[in-house]
Amino acid sequence: MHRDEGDSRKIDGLGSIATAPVRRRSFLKYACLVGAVVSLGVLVGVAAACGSSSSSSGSSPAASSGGAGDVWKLGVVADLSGGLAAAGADVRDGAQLLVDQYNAAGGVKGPDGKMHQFELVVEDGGMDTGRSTAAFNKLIMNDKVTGLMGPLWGNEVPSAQAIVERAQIPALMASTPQPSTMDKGYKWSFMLAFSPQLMAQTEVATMQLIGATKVVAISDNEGFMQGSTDFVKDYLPKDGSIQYVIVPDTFTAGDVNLSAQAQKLKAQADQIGADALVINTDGMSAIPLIKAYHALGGDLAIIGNGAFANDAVITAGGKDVEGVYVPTPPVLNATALPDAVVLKPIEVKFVTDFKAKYGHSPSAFAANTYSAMGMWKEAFAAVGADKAKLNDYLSNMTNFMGPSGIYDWKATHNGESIEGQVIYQIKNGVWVPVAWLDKSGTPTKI
Amino acid sequence: MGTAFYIQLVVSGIAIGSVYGLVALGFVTIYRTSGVVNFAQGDFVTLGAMLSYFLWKSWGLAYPLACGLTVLAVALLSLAIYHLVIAPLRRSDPIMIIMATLGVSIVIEMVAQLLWTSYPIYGPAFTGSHPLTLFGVSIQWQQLWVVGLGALVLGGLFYLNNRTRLGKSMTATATDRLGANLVGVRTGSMIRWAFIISAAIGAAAGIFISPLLPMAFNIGLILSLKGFVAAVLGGWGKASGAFVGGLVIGVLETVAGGVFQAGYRDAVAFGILLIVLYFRPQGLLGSSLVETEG
Repeated sequence: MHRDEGDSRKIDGLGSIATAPVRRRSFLKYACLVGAVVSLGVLVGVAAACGSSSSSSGSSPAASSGGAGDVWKLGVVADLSGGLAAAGADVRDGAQLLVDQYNAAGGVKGPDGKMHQFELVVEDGGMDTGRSTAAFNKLIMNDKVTGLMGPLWGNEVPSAQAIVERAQIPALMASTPQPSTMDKGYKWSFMLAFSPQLMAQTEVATMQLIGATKVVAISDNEGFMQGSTDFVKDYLPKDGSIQYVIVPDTFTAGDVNLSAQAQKLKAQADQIGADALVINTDGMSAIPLIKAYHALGGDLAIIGNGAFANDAVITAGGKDVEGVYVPTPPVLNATALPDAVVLKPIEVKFVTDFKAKYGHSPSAFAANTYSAMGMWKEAFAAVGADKAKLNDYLSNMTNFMGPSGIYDWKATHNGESIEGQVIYQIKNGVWVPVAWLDKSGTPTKI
Repeated sequence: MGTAFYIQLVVSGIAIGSVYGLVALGFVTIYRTSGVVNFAQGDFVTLGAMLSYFLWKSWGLAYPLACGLTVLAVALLSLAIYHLVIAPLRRSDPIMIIMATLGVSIVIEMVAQLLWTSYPIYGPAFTGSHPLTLFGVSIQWQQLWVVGLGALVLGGLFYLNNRTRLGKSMTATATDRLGANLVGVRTGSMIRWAFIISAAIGAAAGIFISPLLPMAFNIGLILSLKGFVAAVLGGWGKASGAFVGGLVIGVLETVAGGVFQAGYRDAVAFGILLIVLYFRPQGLLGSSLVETEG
């Protein structure tokens, strides 16, 4: 064998790294190198966020000339990096779609009679509570926004709500109401996504639709999901026609090894002779559980929830999510809805516009902020950029229809109403609407 | 819960444990030759799964071809990482090298997210869409593939280290770099081979496990941590120990998850790990000496 070129330097190379004296100069040199490598990673991440961010805010034109009023500035905290990055991009894009449409039309006429452009300032929450908190503070204190949207990740909500309450700035939050804060009487935050009660109600409606009489449920350990799973009991038929059992265990969303939970789920289902399962977590986190359940030979009908409402679930889940029922806002497959669904025209326009602009179908997350932007437009047009007046206006808003649902903020700040929600089933890799719900939550088959 | 319930937990644990074992084998392969603890090892697994999937789905390559190209590409990437990041730091403190590999891990994860998707992907199962059922216990065909890969890699490493000149040179490099150099072993090449082999193991592992587990850009570090713990438990530096350590971790965490609440799973599994290491600090199969066996 021949000795490597330069092996004279390598003789005491890696093998003696533990004992080699480190001089200050070389230490600094390599510290810089390591720092550079780590920084590069961070920069790449930041670039990812900025790349997405600039495309959204970059399209906001400046205020139009001639009779133009001040720009109405809104902040968005979207999880543009981390595990929810794709959904976070939808949160941003849903709002940006309407902003661009309003601005392209010359702006929105305010109570001062002038035309105002909207501007979105987008910050990355990073699926990180600390980062999200910093983003909210920055938008309020540095960017001086008049209103806020986001976050998406439920764990970011409590601190975000506390911040906007303290700052007295209205915020239309793209997330679900959190059981830990629902009773706090917050006045400045409005939750756009479904409440745990609504989710429970739609799951019971799905049980009734498919004729399930014995149902076993399991949820992840997030407060919202556990709350929803418990709330189902409140909406079950009083005649006891549906037996409902919750598996006495949870799991962490995003966990990859859910074989033990799948076994417990199947064992519980076998024990009571169940005919359906409820899995309360987000759709992507449910897939490992469903796969593990199917691998055990389980084949019961599965009822998911609005957090499954994402095309990526079908792509990633493949055959394992075939047949899964998903009660959710109608946005998933709007054109397939019957005309009787009151939200259909809004859904179709939203989906068409979104696809034309971004080249892919919108998720329910995009629908939330699109709805929010519609509310902002109505509120700003009525009262202008006064935070307190905006909040009052929003708080008295009733029967607002957006692609994410029908909102009655006067009644509750916690999510949309059940009317117009749709139960989808995944068939051959497509969201197929199988029923829609009326004001009482009763399913009508499609 | 009947006996089948617990046997099923063990079977599932062996499958996930094989994954950890494969990651641990990658750790050990690099460490034995170079002394480097490479925390980007789990990212080779992620890259293996994601690159093969997108070569297959987006580029329309035949899946076996996509897999082959992926293993090659990840091995070359590992070689590049060695030259660009590890080699310049070879005289530095080990902690700096570990930090550098963590930096590499972050870069790989961010690039993977940018290039592909932040959502998890699942690769296609190699064979059989329905699980095999034996005495009330279900076994997925893909689980058998993963366990088989683990056994194959373990056997391959044993053969490499004990029956081939390359392997013996790598072992010599691990045992006494100066001595190996003096007798003509190209120690630099041996280290490069270690990086190539460990990356190939990681990429193959990613391809094999992707039908079973959600493979996302950010899963690499989690796998690295589990693989590292497995390698320590089995006996740091010993390939057979690393794989056994992976199996033990997988079975412990799955059985603990089945017997206790999920929240206690890791606490129970790693609590047992601490107890084992208290009584056997050298690990289950390790000794205080550098092993010559693979």
